[in-house]
Order: sequence, then C-alpha cells, then structure tokens
Amino acid sequence: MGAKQRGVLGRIWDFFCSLKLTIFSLISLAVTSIIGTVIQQNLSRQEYLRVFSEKTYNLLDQLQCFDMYHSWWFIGLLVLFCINLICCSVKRFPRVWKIVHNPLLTPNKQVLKTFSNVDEQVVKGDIASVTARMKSFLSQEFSAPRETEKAGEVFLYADKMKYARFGVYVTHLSILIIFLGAIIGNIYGFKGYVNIPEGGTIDRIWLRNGQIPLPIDFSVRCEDFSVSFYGNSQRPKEYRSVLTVIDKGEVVIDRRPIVVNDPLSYKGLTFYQSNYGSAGDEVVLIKVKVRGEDKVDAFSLRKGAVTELANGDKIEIEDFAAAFRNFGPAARLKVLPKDGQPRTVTVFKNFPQFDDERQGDYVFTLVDFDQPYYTGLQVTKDPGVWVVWLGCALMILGCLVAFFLSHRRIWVVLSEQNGKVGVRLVGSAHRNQPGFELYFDELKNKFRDVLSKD
Amino acid sequence: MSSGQLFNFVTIGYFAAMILFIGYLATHSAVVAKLATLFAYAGFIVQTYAIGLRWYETYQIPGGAGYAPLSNLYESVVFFSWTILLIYLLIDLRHKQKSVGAFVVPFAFLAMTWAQLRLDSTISPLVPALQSNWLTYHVITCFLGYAAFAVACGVSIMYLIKVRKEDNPSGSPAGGIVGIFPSAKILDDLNYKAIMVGLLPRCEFAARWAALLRWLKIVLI
Repeated sequence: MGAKQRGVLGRIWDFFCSLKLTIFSLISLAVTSIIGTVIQQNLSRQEYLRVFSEKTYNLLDQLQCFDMYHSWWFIGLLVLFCINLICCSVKRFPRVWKIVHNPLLTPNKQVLKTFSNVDEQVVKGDIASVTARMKSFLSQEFSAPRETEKAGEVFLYADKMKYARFGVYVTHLSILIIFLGAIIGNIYGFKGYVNIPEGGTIDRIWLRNGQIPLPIDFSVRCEDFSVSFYGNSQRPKEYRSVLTVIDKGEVVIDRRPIVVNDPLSYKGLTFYQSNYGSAGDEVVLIKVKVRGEDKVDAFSLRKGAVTELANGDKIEIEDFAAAFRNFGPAARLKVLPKDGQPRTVTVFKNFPQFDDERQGDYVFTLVDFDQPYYTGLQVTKDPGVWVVWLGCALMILGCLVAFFLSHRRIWVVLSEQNGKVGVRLVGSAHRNQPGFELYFDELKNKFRDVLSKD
Repeated sequence: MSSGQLFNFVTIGYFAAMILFIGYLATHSAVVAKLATLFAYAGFIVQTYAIGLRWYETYQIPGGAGYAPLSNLYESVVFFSWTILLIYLLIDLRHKQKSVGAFVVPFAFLAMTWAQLRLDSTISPLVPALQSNWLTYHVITCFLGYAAFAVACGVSIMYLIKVRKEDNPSGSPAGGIVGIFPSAKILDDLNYKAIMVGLLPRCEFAARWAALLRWLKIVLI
C-alpha cells in the first residue's frame, strides 16, 4: 500500500515537472492574453454595450473577460506555471549543481559514445609523455585540465564557463520575483484617480470601481493647470499641473510642476498627469472706456454675471466663445442702461478697434480670457515596484548568461594500445551546438598537429 | 538635401546591392560580389547620415522640440532596415560569406520600399504621452529584435536549401548556386546567434509587462 501511495505522489510530482505542462501553460497564457489585447479592459457596462449585444456582454462578463488579468482562470494559469517552474527547477538543480561542482572526471565508454564531437589518434611513445603534451595542449588552447587515472587509462578533464549552467535558474527565479512584486503591488498597493480644480485642494482619492473615497494622510493643492500646443496646430505639446503638497498644515512640496511622464511622488503615492477638463465657464477680462474720457475700467466677468459701471449702467456677459467662426475669441455683452432699452454688443479679442468704430457711448475691448480647468490625476501606490525591477534586472542577466554563454567540456582519454598510445578527444557544450562544432573542428586540427609533431 | 530624398537614394542603393548579390549567386564572380558589398556599405553609410539628418530636422520644424527619429511606424521601419544592414555587415566582416547578402539585403530593401512608398513620413512633434526616453529604448530593442529575426529568416532559407543539397548530392552537378553557400554548420551557428539576439528584446517586453500595463493606461489618455 505504501508503494502504491508513493506511486500516486510520484505521478503528481512528475505531472508538475513535465515539459508538457510547461508547453500547455505557456501556450494558454499566450492565447488568453490575446483576449486582453482585443477586448479593451475595465470599461463601463455602457461602453461595452455599444460594441456587444446584451447576451454577448453577459457571457463575456461571466467569463471575466473584461478584467481578465485578474480573472480566476488567468491567475490559475499563472499559478500553474509557477508551480511547474519551481518543480522543474527543484528536480533539475541538484544534477546541474553536481555537473558544475563535481564534474564527471572519468566517463566510461558508453557515456563517451553519446557525445558527437570526437576525434581519435594513435601515436607512438609512452602514456606519461603523451599525457604531459596533452596537458600543455589543453592549458594553452582551452583551460588547465584535471588528471585522473582509472583502470590503466588516463583521463584529462577541462571545462570553461561552468557557471553558465545556472543562467536558467537565475531566469526562473527572476520570473518568480516579478510575480512576487506583482502580488505585493496587488495586495498592498492600489490604483485610483482624483480630479482637482485649479486652486482646489483634496485629501481623498477615488479607487477604480470604488464608491467611497479613500482618505490620504496629506493634502494636494492644484495651483495651476495648462495645456500647450505645437505652433498653431491642434497637436498637444504638454499637459502641466502645478501641485503643492501639504502635510499636517505644512507645505512639504511647493509648486512642483508635473507633466505626463514626470509624476510627483510623496509618501509612497505617485500622482501622474492623466487627463483634464474645463471647470466651469471662462472668466473674461473686459475693459470699458466712456467715450471722450480717459479713464478705463477693467472687469473680470463670468458668463451670466452682471456688474455695475461707475455711472450706474450695468453690463452682462451674455455669451462667450473661445473661437467664434474664424474670428478668434469673442464675447457678446449686454448693456443695461439705467433707463432705456438694453442692447447687445459683440467684441473680439483679435480686433480691439472693432467696438470703437461702432461710435457708441461706451468703448468695450475684450482683453483676454481664462479657461478654468480641473486636472485629472492618476494616483497609484505600488510597494512591489522595486521587487519587480529587481526581477527585471535578474531576468536580463539570466537570459544573457543562459543564451549567450555555454558550458564547454573537453575530455582527453589516453590508453595503452599494443605498445602505442590511443588518444581520444571528446567535447561537449550545453548551448549553441553548431557554434561548438565549429570550435571543435578547429581544436581537432590543432590536436592532430600537436600529436603528429615528434 | 532632405532626409527623405536621401532615403530614396538608400532604397536605390539597397536595390542595386540586392540585384548584384543575386547576380553573384548566378555568376560566382568575385567582382560582382565586391560591387554588391560596396553598394551595401554605401547605402548603410548614407542611411546612417540620413537618420542623423532627420534627427536634426525634428528640431527645425516650427515649434519642434526635437526627438530621436524612432517615434512612428515610418521611422521604426527605416531603423529596422538600417539594423538589418548593420547585422549583415557584421556577419560580412566576420565570415566574408557574400552569398548571405542575397538572402538578407532583400529584407532591408523591401522595408525601405514600404516605408518610402506607403508610410507617412511627416515629422510630427511628440504628443505628451510619447515624450519619454522609454519610447526610444523600446523602439530600439523591439526593432533590433525584428531585424535579427529577419536575418535569421534569410539564413534559415539558405540552410534549408543547403541541407537538401548536402543530403542529396546527385541532384545537380557539384557547385551550382549552393556551392558558394557557407557550410550548414556556419549557417546553423549564425541562425542560433541571430535568434538569440532576436529573443532578448522579448525579455525586455516581458520584464516590463507589469510596468507596461500601467504605463499604457497613461499613454491612452
């Protein structure tokens, strides 16, 4: 019964170590990732219903296709992949450790036959002197060999870059570290957003899909937001917010500008410039001059606001357009005299003389306007990000070692053959076999040269 | 002269090199091979200069803040063809196997033709989301990978032809086109190296996977 139980456990172990499982999980991950690329993730129900029918939407929603990187089946595949990776590494690591630290010094004939890079020569002389020659040959052309004697045969073993065999495990470890970093980020981190109008201050943010705001233990004020364009085109050049961070009543970061790829970080939270929008109507700066007088009054007005002039007449901004047809910024003013009929006047920023030519008792000019904005910030906290970066560095290192370096081993086996010495040269590499074959061909020629010299 | 005109000359240069390399396969003439290599080098040098010139031009347009010319499909494809030539010329310096040119240079020529005829070559300054050095690193690693795969493709085709002939020597008189191919071992070695160079940038992608997903959300505003 004990044997049977071990058999089952052994089968489970073999299943998690199998290459078939690796291929299955890798291909499944690749194929399912296509879903995440084709279907936009994390949109609202309304946005999906514009593309899909009610029925399709429900089906895809059930299958968690709209947030597939967090779906149970995708995470399940990742877990399966990780277990597979760990089991394979655990299974193979001891053998590789042995090859590196305890190399096969005296391979028997069967083992030697399995290597395809072989050359054999028979030379005159005694074993000791040929061994000495072969030792200096290997030291010169390859690396210093270790000598072992067994059953009348002399074995010389030399290798190069034996640590290249560990590159694979560094890569495997790096994948696990990256996953670990992602898990830390998912558990202890969050992703949220916040909108701040110019001049406004916030001390709470909104999580994605969250109904209640999350308080943060400091506050952020948006001093200013601006958007600039290249030349006269509509192509945006820069979105810039100027932020001030206030912690316990003290200004800790003062007027720090942030742009799209240059966020602000404070206490583990990172604020990225993400979007923007208008916060209410434009503020229009109007100058009023009474004809024949020198005095000029200036007023900052919002649409709908009424203000009184010095002599009791009133003006109101009835409408404003930042781009009125081709004429640029324009405002329609309503003049409400103390007595008499109200009348409307249109002023243009680009044509300051326009209203003067109307010959009215007031001369209005539209000096400038200011569009109040709110800035949209993405707020993230990801304590796992440095773990992920460590994993990235290890992965690049591991891949470089695993793919570009190769553990090369050379054996020279010398034996007595009817008064002569049989010399066999055997080589093996754990990577880039074709490259090693070319190298071995050259080595073989030198080997023959050395042996033919007497 | 603008970079666009220079890129036209580059395209013509690669076309000439391609035809001459194919001519070399047919004639086995060392002179033809030398001439082909000369065109490949000349095209590469002009292309290097033209890429530099385009970089300079990005500063010259009105309101242009300047950027490394690796920001859109046109510029990437031009860089792709430049990288193919770079890899090919390195192989040429190391192995002096001119026949490889006939299978590798066509990729560079096709890329240049596609870019010059079909893609939008306007220099447009970068929108905020793309104003990041990551964009440059990303395009360089990506297209280095693609170029290495293109070289691997060319070399693999040669390998398949070569192996078929080596297995079946009675098929045609000794020599022929295949006679001047490098040995299958060399082709196999080149192929291994090219694929490894091609795979490494994938690792950059995988490594930045987590970071990238977040970054993409910022890009998509």
